[in-house]
Amino acid sequence: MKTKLNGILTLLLALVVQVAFAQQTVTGKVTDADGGLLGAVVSVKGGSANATTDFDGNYTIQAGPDDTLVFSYSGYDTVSILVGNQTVINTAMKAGLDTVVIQAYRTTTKATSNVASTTVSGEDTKDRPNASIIQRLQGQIPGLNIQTGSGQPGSNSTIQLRGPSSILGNTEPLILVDGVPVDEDVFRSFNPNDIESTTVLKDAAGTAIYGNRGANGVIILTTKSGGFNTPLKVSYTGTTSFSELIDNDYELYDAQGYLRLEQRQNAGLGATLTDAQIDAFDVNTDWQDVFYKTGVSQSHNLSLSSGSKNASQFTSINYTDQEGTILNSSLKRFSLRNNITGKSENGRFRYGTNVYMGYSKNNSQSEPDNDRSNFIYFNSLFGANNALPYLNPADYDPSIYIPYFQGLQNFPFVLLDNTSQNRNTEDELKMIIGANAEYDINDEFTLRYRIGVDYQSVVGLRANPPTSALSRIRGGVNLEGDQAENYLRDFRFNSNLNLGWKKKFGEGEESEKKHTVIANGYVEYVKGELKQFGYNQNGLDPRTFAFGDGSGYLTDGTANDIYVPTVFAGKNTAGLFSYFGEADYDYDQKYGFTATLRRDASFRFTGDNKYGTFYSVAGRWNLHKEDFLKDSEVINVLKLRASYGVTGNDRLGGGYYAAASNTRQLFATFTGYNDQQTFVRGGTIANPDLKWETVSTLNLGVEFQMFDNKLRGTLDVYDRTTEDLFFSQFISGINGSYSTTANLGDMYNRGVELGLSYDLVQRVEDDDFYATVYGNLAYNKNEVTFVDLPDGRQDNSGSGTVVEVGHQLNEYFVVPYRGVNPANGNLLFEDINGNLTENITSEDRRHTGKDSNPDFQGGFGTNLGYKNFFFEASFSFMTGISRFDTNLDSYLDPTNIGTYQVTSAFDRAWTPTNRVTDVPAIAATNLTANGINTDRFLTDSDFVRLRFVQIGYNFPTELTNEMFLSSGRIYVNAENLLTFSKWNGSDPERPSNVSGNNFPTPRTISVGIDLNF
Amino acid sequence: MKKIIILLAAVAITFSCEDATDIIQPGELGAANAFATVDDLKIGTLGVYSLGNTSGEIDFTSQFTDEIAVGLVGGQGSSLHGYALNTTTGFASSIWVNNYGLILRANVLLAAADGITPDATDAAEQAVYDESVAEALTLRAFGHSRLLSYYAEDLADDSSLGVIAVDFVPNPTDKFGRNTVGEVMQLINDDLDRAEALFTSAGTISSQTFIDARFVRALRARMALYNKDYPAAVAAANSVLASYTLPTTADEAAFRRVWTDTPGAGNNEVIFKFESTLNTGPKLGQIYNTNESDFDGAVNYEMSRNLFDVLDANATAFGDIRRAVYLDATSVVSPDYAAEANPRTADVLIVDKYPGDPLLTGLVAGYTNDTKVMRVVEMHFILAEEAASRNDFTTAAQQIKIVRDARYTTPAPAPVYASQTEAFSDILAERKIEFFAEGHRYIDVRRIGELAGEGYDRNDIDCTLYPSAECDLSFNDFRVKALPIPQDETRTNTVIAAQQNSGY
Repeated sequence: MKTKLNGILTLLLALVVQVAFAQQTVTGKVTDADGGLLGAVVSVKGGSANATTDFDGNYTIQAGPDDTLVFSYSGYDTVSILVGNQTVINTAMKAGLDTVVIQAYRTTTKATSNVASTTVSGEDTKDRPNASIIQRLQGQIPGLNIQTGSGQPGSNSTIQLRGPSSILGNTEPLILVDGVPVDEDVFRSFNPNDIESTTVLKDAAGTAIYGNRGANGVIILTTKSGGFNTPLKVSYTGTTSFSELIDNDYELYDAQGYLRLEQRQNAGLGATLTDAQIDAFDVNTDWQDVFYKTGVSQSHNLSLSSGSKNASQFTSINYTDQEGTILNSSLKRFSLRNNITGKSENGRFRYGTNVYMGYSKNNSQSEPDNDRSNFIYFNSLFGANNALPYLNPADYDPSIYIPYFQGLQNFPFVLLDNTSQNRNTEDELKMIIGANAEYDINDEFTLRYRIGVDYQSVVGLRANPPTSALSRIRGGVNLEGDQAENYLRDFRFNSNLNLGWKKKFGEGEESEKKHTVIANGYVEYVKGELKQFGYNQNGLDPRTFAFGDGSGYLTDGTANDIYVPTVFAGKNTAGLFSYFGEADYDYDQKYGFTATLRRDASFRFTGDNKYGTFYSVAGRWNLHKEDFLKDSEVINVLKLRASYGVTGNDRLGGGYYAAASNTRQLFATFTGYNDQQTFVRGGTIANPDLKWETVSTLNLGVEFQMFDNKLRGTLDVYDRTTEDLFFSQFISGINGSYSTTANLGDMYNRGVELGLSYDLVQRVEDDDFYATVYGNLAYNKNEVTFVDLPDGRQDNSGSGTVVEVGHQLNEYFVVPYRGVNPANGNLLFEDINGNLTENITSEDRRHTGKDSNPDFQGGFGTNLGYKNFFFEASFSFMTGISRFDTNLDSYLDPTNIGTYQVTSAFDRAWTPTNRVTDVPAIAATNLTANGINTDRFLTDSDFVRLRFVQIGYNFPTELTNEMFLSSGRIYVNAENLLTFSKWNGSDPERPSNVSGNNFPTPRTISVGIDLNF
Repeated sequence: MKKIIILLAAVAITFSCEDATDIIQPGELGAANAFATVDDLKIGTLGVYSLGNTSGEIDFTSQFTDEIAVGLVGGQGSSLHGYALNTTTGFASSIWVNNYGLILRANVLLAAADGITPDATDAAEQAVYDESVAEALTLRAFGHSRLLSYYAEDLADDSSLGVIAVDFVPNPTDKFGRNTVGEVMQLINDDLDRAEALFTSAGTISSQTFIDARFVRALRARMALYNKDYPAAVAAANSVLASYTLPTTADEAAFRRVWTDTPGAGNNEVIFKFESTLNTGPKLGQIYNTNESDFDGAVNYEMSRNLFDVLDANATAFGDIRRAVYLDATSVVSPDYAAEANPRTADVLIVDKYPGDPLLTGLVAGYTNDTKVMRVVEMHFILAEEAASRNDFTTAAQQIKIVRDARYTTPAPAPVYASQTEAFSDILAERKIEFFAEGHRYIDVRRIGELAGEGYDRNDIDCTLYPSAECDLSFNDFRVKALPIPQDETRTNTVIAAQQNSGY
């Protein structure tokens, strides 16, 4: 993958002012391995002339014969060429070691970085038909696991770097947008097209300086910026997408098959029909088709960038309207970004501001946050999966409702009514605002200050209008209907002051000095404030009710106490204070060392536990700079890295504001017995000894480039140990609860990450074929090493898992299902002694070596081009993930016959005349397996997915010239076009130990156009 | 330029460290400010009452025993209804921890009361103090009584394993073994004795929804009976009956008002009930119906057909008012249940014991009723059992007749018992009807099922509605004998792990 980073440092290099003589016009083309390079800066060394290449890499510049042209592009080695008598100068640029590498609080170069990090260019995340920048990253970064549990457009993903480092606490990385820490769960209002690059810091060398927040890695999103001395560039991207449900693989009945089953089982409608009537039955409904649709989406993105001598700006406007695949689900987003950079005449003072505002309207049915996936009257996905095929959606009549509640099997009519009438929306305003300024006090000292704000406000609305069937059945003779609204405002502020020192030592000129020392000191202040309030109103007058409006609210009267609305309000504050520093030493770009030290104070702890000290040490050796490799034909770059460090996690309860008062025993007031106000000791038992979870990471890495830089790769191995895990402390029920929490667990994650890319064929001339292949692979092994229980096992029988010493976190702990007893059609299990049994106990459960976290995961793909055509394919995969398929469980549950859809495999169920089969007798007596967890429905969900594929065409120059374009292209792409998995359901990706009636991620096909003016 | 820098630096430094790190969240109430005055104690008792409801026990009893059957929309019923009862069963865990939660709240309040001295010169304040402490003591005893009733090895054997007796605020690290039944009974009786004395000195006379000395005595009678301390049971039951007289003739309308919680009703029927309002307290009706208790209310569980048959026969023969009161009028009764092709839809016996509170409005009101914890009629059953235990069948029969006279519009003659088994069998049968859906059946069968020679008797057709081969359970079955100590407790409490009830 190519890495294109427009860093300020590179741009500064190109800006030295001087007057030139005897001008001539020089034109040419700047290329890299993939062809023409957009946005490369061509400047005259020591002069003022400056040009930027267009989409095809073409440029024009005025220069004299004695001038030297300097071609620079972030991430590539700078090329200098004497003009002489040439009027056409083409140059091919190579990805260089001096790439700007984004690090914590500063940037460095690839050669002098001591950090295990991966950067993905904005090129590799743009133009994808997915509303979330996080989801677009899946499969692109070794070790970064991104799983999305819902097909709701823009929905939150579970992000995990190098496995889970915490059990109850936060396990998601710190995410920064242009240096501003942001809420890691909210990206639906964020415009992914603004991204210039995404960098993931993985080892302690990179993350320890973030101290308390760096324990799970750090993701740094950098947005685009204009360059100094660049003309106005206008870019437009427009896409139209079509999303659809990915079919599932369950064997299900059609209407007649189902009716015959009912007839045999003497249940439901089928029991009342004759064979002839069933044969003549003419309704056959696929309820997937009723509740799902093709979601049509549009996105328009317009950006403008420009720069004068001392100021530059980037502005973007985005409008996205994305429909989900389930009825009545969508995301609409409008966003505006303005990034400004500027500097003083002498360049010693530099500043920048990043202002982003996104507003989104989210309309959903599945309500993943409310865990309503099995609420049959609320979740249309439940209807799509479980409605009876002989019911006809055309029979739905909004004027009748009572029959829909008589007999559960009529639930799809309630759902149809609910889906068409209810509303569940969230309107979200998101602002990410950052400002930074730096001033070179002298040649050695620089003072920097940065503030940032992450702001979001959400207005949630959930309403059942009084006309809906649910409201009418609930109201009876009274008017019903309910509307709940909640308002949330989350303001997170960050202030960072930094004094930096940089000095070179050694012999000779400044540029010849071989010892470089950097030291930085920082003070950081973080404060977060959350404010929420809301209400729930029961009783709406249909004459005046409107969503989000209160005109129709029925007021409380003496005879109808139900109409009293309930209200709630909440306020929370979080804070951190830190001071920290780093020192970095480099010798001639051969060896380097970095050390960081950070002291954090968290509001969550008291006394001696309040402060945590975190540190890291790291070193590197650039072997290719040594004499014995300097002239190697094969090896261009070979760098060894090692780091060790300790980071902390104070987000013990997961959320940013969670577990804020656990050191203090609180009393809670509430409306108690007899509706009177009272107070009691709070349910959370105080633990004054709470302290930081600490994560120690050892990382060893190799970075290499070989064969004329055609092969590029990194290999990292790591050992991450978490101690003092915030975990359940199991207590006797005499405390009024069975568990409290304490720093009581230990575990480790160990793994390997490999990232490779190889240029199979490089493009030399414009129309040549080129091909690049790449792949990344990560393996993570997780093991719990301490649990505070006599047998070291926390038995989560509710989820069929254990947290046990010597095993992976939440390993499945179940009884093996061994098939059907030919003698009687009952289920057979294997007891703990290896014998087949029909009757199991909880003692028969055992370890499975399976969990819901991936063992291996990664991605691979290719970029191809020929003439003006380009092609990209990117696969992602995960192995070692299993979860309970509750849909399969439901389809194989005979008690659902007559009520819900079941599997047509029942046609081969055990009978006295069909004794050898894989489906137990419908009347089997041990279907519930005594309530013990078995692996009957525990299903592997390993998958390989064609995550992204794209084919496109770059407009030829003749065409763009006619259209007043500098460049343009059209393309067709698809997300999740193909999925290979043993998982029967639509979506193998869900990050959970169970899956059933969830909103699956869709397959999306998209067409788009990019135009640059 | 330098001015800007200095300004920026100044701004950065002004954020003080404490502002970000010493944060007390808004609305925190610490222990030091919680209980300060006698009035705080009185207010705090309401929080203790909040955990006292027995809805989980009523729910468990109905699902597990032979009181009910799977209803119209109840699907296959719960696995518990199919007799899946083990150490991981939710109710085994929740009944344990909820009652200890009640005991904990009482102990927190009692510990706080120790630190508060009422003004000796202020009789009213002393009375409030005494009353608060008495209420907490009674609720602590009540919590222990529930635990003992479900988990004790043998309620009647003082040396058998009981539950953990907790009369202090425990530490999270505390792990205790089971006290004997005798030790727990001792704590219960001590608490009740203290409470009775305090209620008497405070002069407390409460309505049905708050505790006074009468409930203390009734609870003492109940636990003495369970413990087979018959003299104490008789003494306590008679002292209660000194304050209440059961109606001598059946009045359907009046009896219905007991269950609809009509204000002023049931003063001769109900000794104590936990109040449920729209906003607080359990919603008992929802154990049986999703919404209101009629045919359209989505019936999850209905009355057991066997129980219905007895009740229906009683109504025909003697005008038993409980047929009309306990069963909703919209019930569908199959004339020939055994012959029905689709018994689920052909026979819908809707439980109306929790008919909703007509004084309230809206959906929630339709399944909101108070939890009847102690009723006068139980005292007569106590006297009947005591008499039967010493083969005084005449007295036993007289007590049962008192119960039936209160329910039959056409009085029946007193029953005649030829043996102790017959007497206990009739007492158990009458209790099954009278206390239907009130959380007595499980405890009754484990206590006197053996004496009556009876276990659970479900209707054979009812049993086809759920997927388990088991229909009836013998009184000998270990699951009928006692609940298991929940795995949630035994996994961490190794002392108690070695004291599991037999069979689990």
